[in-house]
Amino acid sequence: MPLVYAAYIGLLVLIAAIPVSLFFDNLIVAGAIQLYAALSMVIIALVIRPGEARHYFKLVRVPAALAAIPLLWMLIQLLPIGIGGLSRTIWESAAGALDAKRLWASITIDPGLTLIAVSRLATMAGIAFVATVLSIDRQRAKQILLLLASAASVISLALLVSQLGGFNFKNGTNADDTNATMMTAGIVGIILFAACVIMAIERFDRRPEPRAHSSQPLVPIGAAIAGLAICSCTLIAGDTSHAIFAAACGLATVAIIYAARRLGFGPRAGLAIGSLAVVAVAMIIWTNGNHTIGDVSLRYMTDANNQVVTLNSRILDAVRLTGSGAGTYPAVSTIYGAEGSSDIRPATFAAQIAVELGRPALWVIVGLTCALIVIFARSAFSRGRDVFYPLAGAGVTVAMVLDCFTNATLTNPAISLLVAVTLGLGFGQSVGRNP
Amino acid sequence: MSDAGELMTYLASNRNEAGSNAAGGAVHVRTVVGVVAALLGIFALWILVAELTSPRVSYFPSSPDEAAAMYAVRGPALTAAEVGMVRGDLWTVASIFTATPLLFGATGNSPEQVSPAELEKIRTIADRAARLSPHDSRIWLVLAALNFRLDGKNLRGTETLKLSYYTGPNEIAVMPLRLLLAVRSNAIFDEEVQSLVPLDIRRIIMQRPDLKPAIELAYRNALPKGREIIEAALKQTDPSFLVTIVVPRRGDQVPD
Repeated sequence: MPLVYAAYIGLLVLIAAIPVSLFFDNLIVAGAIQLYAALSMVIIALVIRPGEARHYFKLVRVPAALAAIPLLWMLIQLLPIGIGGLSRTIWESAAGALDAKRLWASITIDPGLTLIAVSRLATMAGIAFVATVLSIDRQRAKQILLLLASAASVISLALLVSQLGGFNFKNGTNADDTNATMMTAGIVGIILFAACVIMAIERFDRRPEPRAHSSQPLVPIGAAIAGLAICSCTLIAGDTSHAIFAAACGLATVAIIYAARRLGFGPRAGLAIGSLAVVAVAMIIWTNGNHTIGDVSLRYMTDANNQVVTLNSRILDAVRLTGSGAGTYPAVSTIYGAEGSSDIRPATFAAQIAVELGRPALWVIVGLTCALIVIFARSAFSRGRDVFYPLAGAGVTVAMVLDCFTNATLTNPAISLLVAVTLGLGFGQSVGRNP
Repeated sequence: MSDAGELMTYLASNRNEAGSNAAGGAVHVRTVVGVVAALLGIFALWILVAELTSPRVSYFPSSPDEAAAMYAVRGPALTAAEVGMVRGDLWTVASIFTATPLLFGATGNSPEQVSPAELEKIRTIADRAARLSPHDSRIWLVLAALNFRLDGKNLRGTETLKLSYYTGPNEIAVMPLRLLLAVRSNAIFDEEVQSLVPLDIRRIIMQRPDLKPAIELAYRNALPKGREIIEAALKQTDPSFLVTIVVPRRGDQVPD
């Protein structure tokens, strides 16, 4: 038990450090998170009990299978398949210039960068697993949720102060990236605080003695609404309609599922309402897109400018269906004429996936995240008083799917950590211990 | 044995079976989690050690002075590359750091301070980097510089120089050395290179005027054909700068 407690404290420290680590988008931060994930998984492997193992397996088998699909494709991209065929033509040019008959010719244009991308995805899956295991305990789950929401609110508050004070945390093009990253944390924060509001309501509704402590829920509900207001104000002050839309859709997901539950509708009625909402959202998205841009992965980007769109479109056309290899976006953008650091950062996370893994992979990944949303929604209908955890998972997943079509902030290690822990929390509380 | 006794024996055997199944499941879960944890740990150390040992210096040297500063920290760069193993980016950095004394020097035979063995070692590192990161414009430039130094490798030098242009057409950081190599070597007689050189000059003038001394350095070291191309490019983009670099070289009076 003390060993698990160490893993738990480690996770709390990592979450508490998110507002700071958000400013360091580098491999050292990613490596540190990875080291934590590895050590925590070792601890879990050591202390796992037979009964718990079965429960963990039940919780993570489907999400693990979903995460394995993109991971498997990344590994296929690494395979040395020889010059010609599916391998990229750069290998042929390199073989000619080096006068070498044998090269590690693969789909990826850089095996090292792809291996790093594999390890980063595996890390986020590992973090989600650790969060799942640690949040099976209700008390820990509550503390993790509150700390996640607090971290997001600190980031939002800092961004709000910078917006009102008219200063930036970083200079030049980095300032826009940092603001967009903080905005994404704000989107997650809105949904987490909505979950906190539901938690306070559920606690109040299910209190053992209805007449006792009648004023008690006002404090947690008030605190959660204050947090929700801070995160919302940041998005409104930032005047980013894309971020507001993503947050609204995430929030609507939480609200629809919760309302369907409260009104006593079953999962089928919830599914019908959800389907209507999806159609409405799809129509809004379709009518608000810039249809002069051919590729959907670029159509909704926040800072659309001709240069970036042209560059990304050229790359997308060139990399064909197999992609240039996970983690190779900066490399491939340089080949296609990227001029500076702002070009090297992908226009959107969706465009990055389409470039690196191929266009079909983007839609497969969107399909996988939709499957995640369904899993969370089902859990929300089957759960009792702890419904707000899978609700938070569903809301964050919806918001992040939409957000990844507007910017590339999900690649930031701190944001990835925030999302992975939220999803882990949702999985951990998706099934009760005594069904 | 009584009926009750038989029932108890049956229940006990069932419980043991369920218990052993659960224990077996736990072993499987423990094994899978342990293996994934070990892999993640190895990856984490692989990334962290390489990143922490890699020196934090500029992307590519733009002058001989900067090159000398980079050469001084080549040891950590090599260590990082060896830890990184398949990381072409780290091998590229190591290759740049070890090859810097040769990058801005004169063409032809290797300088006295670099032994043939050392030259071979530098080439091996660069070759490895190019095999792992063939998309990196910098490594093709380093290979071009090395090829131009070795007798009889001018053709290979031109090929690798062209790959540097193709893989990083707008990479300003590599332009000073690329321009120098292009105009002072036989590569300048290649038609493709002749069309690519003015693009680099234009980009330096328009976007990084602080790198103008690199054009001057290239002009002073250029073959007659190279000078001709630089002069033609500067006539269109920055005629006043052309005057400043041409006049002192010819020893003429600066016109009023």
